[in-house]
Amino acid sequence: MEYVTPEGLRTDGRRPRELRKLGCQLGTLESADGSATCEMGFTKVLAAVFGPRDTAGKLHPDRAVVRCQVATAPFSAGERRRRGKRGPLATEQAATIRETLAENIHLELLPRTQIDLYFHVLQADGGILSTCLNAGMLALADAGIPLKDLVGSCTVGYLESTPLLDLNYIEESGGGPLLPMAYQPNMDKILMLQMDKGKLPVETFEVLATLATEGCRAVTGQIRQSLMNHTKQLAVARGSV
Amino acid sequence: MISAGERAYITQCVEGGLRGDGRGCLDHRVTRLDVGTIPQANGSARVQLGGTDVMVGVKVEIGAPLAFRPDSGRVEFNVDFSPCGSPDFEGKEGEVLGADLANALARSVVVGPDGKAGGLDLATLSILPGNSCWVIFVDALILNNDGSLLDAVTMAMRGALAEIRIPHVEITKGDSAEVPEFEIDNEKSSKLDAGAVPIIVTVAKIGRRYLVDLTSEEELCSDFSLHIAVNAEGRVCGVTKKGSTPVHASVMQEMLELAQRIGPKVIESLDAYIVDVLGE
Amino acid sequence: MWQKNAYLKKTRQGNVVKVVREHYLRDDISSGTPLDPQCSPSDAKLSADARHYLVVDTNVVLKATDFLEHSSIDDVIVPSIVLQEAKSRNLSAYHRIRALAADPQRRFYVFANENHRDTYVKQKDGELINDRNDRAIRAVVSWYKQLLGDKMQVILLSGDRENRRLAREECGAEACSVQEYARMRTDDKELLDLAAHWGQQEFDEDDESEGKSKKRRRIYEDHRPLSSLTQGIKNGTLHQGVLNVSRYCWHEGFVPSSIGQEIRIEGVSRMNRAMAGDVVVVEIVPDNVASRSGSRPGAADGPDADEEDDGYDVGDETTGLEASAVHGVDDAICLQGPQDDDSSTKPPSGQVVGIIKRAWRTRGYCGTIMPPRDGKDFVPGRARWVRFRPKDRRFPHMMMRTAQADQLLGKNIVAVVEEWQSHRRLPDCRYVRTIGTVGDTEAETDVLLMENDIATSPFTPEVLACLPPLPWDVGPADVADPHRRDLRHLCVCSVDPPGCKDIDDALHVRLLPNGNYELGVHIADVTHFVKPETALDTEAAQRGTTVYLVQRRIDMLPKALTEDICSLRGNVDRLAFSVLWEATLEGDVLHDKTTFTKSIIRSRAALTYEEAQTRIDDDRLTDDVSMSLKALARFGQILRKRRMEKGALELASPEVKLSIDTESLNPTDIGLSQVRLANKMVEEMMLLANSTVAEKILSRFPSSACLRRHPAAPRSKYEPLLKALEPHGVSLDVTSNKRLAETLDGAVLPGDPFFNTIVRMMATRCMNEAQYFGAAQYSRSEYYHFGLAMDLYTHFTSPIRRYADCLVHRFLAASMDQEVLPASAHDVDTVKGVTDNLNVRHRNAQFAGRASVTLFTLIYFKQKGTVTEAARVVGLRKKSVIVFVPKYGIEGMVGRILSGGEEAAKWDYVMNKSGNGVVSQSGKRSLKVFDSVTVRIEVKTTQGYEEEVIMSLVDEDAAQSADADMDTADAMDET
Repeated sequence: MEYVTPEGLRTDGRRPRELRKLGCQLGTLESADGSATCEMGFTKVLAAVFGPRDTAGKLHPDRAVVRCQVATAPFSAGERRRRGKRGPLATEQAATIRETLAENIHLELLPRTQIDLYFHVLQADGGILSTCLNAGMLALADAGIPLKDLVGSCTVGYLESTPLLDLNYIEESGGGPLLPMAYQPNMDKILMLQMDKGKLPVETFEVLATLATEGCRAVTGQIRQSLMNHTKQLAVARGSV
Repeated sequence: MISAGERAYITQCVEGGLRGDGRGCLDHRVTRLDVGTIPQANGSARVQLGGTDVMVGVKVEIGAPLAFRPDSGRVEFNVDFSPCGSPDFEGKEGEVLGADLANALARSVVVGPDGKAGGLDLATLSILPGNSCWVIFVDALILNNDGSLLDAVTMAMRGALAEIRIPHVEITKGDSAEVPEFEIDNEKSSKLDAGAVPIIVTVAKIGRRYLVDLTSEEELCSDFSLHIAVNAEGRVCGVTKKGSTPVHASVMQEMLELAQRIGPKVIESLDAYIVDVLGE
Repeated sequence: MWQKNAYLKKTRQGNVVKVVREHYLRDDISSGTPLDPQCSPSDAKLSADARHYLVVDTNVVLKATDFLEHSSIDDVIVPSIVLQEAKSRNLSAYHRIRALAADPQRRFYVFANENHRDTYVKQKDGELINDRNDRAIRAVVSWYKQLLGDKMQVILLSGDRENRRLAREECGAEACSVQEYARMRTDDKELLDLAAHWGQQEFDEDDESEGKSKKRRRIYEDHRPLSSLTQGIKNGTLHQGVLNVSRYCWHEGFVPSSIGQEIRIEGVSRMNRAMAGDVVVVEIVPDNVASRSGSRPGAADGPDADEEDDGYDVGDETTGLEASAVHGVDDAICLQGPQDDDSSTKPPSGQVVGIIKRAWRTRGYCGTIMPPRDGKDFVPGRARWVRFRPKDRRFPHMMMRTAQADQLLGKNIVAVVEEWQSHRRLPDCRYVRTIGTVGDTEAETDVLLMENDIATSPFTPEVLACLPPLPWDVGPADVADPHRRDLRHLCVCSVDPPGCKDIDDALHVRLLPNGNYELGVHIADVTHFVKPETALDTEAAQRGTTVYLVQRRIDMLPKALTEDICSLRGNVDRLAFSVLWEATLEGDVLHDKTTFTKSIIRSRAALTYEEAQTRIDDDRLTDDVSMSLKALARFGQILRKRRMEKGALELASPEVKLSIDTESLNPTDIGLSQVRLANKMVEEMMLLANSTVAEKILSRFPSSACLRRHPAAPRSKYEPLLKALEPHGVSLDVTSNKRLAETLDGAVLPGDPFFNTIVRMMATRCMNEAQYFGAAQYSRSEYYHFGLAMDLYTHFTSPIRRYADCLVHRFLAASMDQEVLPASAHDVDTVKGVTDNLNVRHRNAQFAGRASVTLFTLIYFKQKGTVTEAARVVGLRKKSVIVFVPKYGIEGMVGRILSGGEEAAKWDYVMNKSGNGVVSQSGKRSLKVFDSVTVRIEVKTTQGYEEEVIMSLVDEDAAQSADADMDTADAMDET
């Protein structure tokens, strides 16, 4: 398998440091307090936010409690997924998403409340974690929850000695290390960085981490743009503009 | 749950021929259909029927035929409630509800063991009798429930099935019938003939009035309703009764006739749109 | 940085799972020509003043790769879709085109048409993928035409007539077939010949040839479809394996199978177009058919073989026929030694029913074309079919279409196999290049190098850049290195064959104050200069070993390292890797006192074996070097004795020694090389060093250490030898190496001093090859070295000429914690990949060396004229015997030859019933293995122009023979 041709093109025609087509849509669900769909290439995730609200569950006197769940549609991947319980991976991913997004919320402003985050992976083509984070970020903004920064997330990888940005499923299956990152561009803080599979020399790791922050910045740019557009539309709809 | 006041209000309105959202009794809500929303599925569609929001993805895979129909393919239904739609869908309740809906779909849509009554000729899905056949997995995802779920799911299913192409399969022999070998011809595939597949029209009775396309509040007010599967020709393919109230046969007859009138119209407008998107 | 590109989904139905991929179209794809102002100069691969630009299609890339590789083809645009298609259909063609595109000397530009906004085409409904791809290629032509306008002509080079027509009509572009193009290029006639091959026949007019092939009679059974093959393998009715073919004849072979026995495949039709090395699928067939054809003396292979001999009508010409029978179809049994006719032990027979993977060499086959059968000359310039005879007898003759047959006759040429259809008796091949005139020493040497896949190209500048500046000397940094001991005070010397310039080992011995002796082996510190993962290291790993030919050495490392910087020459300071032991006077090595160290040494003398022997023998010499040698020789003898007691084998492999006139390169003498005590002394010290190092590195790197093993051969391999020994009342016990060594010692015939040597020689051949391996590949008990009777062994002592030793040096340095191993050396799979390559290279180097000896033997006998010499029968074949001539150390086949032109010699021996001898038809005379005979050795011209060493029985005045291949197992080349 050749992941980058000598002409410098990836299997889908991108260059190594290019993101896939990024699509963001806000308010996609009527029932939720905030909702969004995020598409990174063919990976498509639906996110819904319920809350902040008062529930029968355990609440914290000083801050909001965040819960998170990730579901996957049976038709999301190449082969149909049998219906079944959420695997340990989904549970782990849900925990990562919860921690990462909660870190970006001014939880202290919402004591004794609960915020529920639900994700449904409609299509999986690599970078699920990042797409979930971006969708969740948008849904939280849509729900009007006080946030610290506009978080952007993307995944970088390393294949055939080339750092690659925003890998699709084929590239993720290439066996190289994968580094999903979530980043707060205005505060210049890395919220989350994982490394799955494989080992890397430190120098390469640094190159990849830099590439990932650049990618996250670009994603944030898109997120900001779609938030602006959405807000404008709302304003027009309300007749305030 | 619904309060007695609300119930009385809705019932009275309907008696007067008007519904809470301003519709007439036999009007549908604004309906939105998207076909091909999930490229990774063999066929997919999303239907928004007012506040009801469902997504259907269809996968076509090779599987084993049922023991008592060795020369036919299979269709399997599965309905999931996405927690994104409502936190209430989380857990057992959603699962039970989903299983109920899946059963209703199976009863009404693919009627009879060969499926012909339901509009799908399952025999055409056979590959090697007794060994392998095409299995069509219809997976519905409920994103929001505001009544008439089955109506919305069958509409979306119609859109999704229209997209499906069954790949051409060459059996390159395997004399010992254990593991036959297949060659898939990438360039040849045939459209799945799903034109005769019915949609479900749910007809309910509130007071003396018959209603279609109920919102969830209206559903709570009706004593009983019938899920009537109707095909493009207006033939009834299957009926499921919901609610425990006994029904007089003549009422039933009226409701069926109503569905037979409305169903083909809905199918017609759906198909017009589908043809528009997918081409002929 | 993020670019918004329109995307299109591409679906692919594989394994009935829908796969969806994104496909981005771009507007930043360069055209690769300086005529385009948008194109950056760094991308401008094409020339501004080219003759024209060629756009090639997939067919051309796949079938005319050689044509494109020709140096007068340049300024070629390769659309990426063509590469994609080529990749899925023929990986080697793909790599060759990729290599062209990567070559800075060539102007091949890969245009990513599939990702270019303006050249992407979408598959239409109902359009076949091939048509779509052709359309995509035409879109490229149109695009370039529009871009370049009048500035440059764009020509589509396509093998598809329809595509050419559409290109002319739709794009208004010039389009031609490879042949038409070659005709157009009047500047280079060679192109025409490269293009001539597919002629009007196969390539261009698909429809017609299809019609023809239907009429054609099928000669071979069709191969079964892959699915039915896998099914058969799964349920055990078919067997898959690599086809091994007899060295003497291409349609005699066997496939190792899972049923524990080898499956024999005999005969042209059973081979069913399989060739040596192919991965084939075999069906077991009833044996009665095989035994019938096997026992029939005349027609070896039934009707097929007969037809092969005379009926071969292909195309417009029939070529030299009877002559071909000489090598093409020889005796039915090509296995060495007498054939076992006992049906109970006879391996099952099989028939090839499918070929999973062809092993057709992309580098091609060396060989010659055969003269016209009718004795007339080839007509110059007329394309015709000729018969190509590969040098390597394991491959069948092939048919080649060429217009320059008159020029190719008498030349060594290279051809590649094209295809082998079921209606073709022989495979079709295609001319690639000419090496030189047959019989010319240089050309013949090039042939044997090429046949053994030995890289002779000079080292690249990148490799040479890794060398330290010359003149090099031990510097202060080396002296100051805390890990490096200064051993220059020791009296070290080296002993090597005469003329040896790459001295990688040196020795010393000295008396310690405690009365014990210190023994030292000092090995050139090559890895000090060859650092891991440099260009130099990669090249050395690829070459694997230095190849020694009679007149020439092909180095693994550049000359500066081989002959100077690393070479432990006399009286200069050199860096070494030393192993030091302490041994008692009685020769007991105290293993706990062994030390390993990097060192600096100064060799007192670089001696030849002969010089060393003289010093050992001469009691009058009492200088340091001589005294050391004497002590070393004594230790050597003790060590050897101990090793022999443990069961080490003393075997014989005839090492031919040629004396070469340095100026004319003509051999002046030939004979078996002499083994002296000095040789054995050096050998023992090296064995000791190697096994000591093996233990050290294995203890530190139990899963990745590079070792060498020699697996014991199963009894069945000795069977023919044991059977041949029976009539002489000699038996060997092959159950263990110790027993074998003892019985070999006992295998003597009174009054026949050479008998024992021959037995040892033949026993050696029965054994397996020793091999390099990574420790994780085998279990501990399998590390055993059978020939040396050692539990652990590796190669440490010749890093200048063997890459394995370099690896071991790194392991040893790392196990002393002085250096860090590169990550790749820890990886079990990587180590396996490297050692596998080394095993292949090692074998090839040996074959090349022997082939070189054969070549010079021929030259020697050509000068010397006919000689008559005593010989021993060492092998029996169905209708010939193999003899060994002790005086010259050469081997040859004496047997029947069906040479039309020459006086037909009547060789009428056939194998007797018990299979242990051949009997002349008159019954008067029989020959058995080990019989003494007298042979006439002469050089004769066969095939009209090819010279060969021919041996014939003198007393019979009846025989002629064919070739004189050498085969000696390398079990003993262990130091």
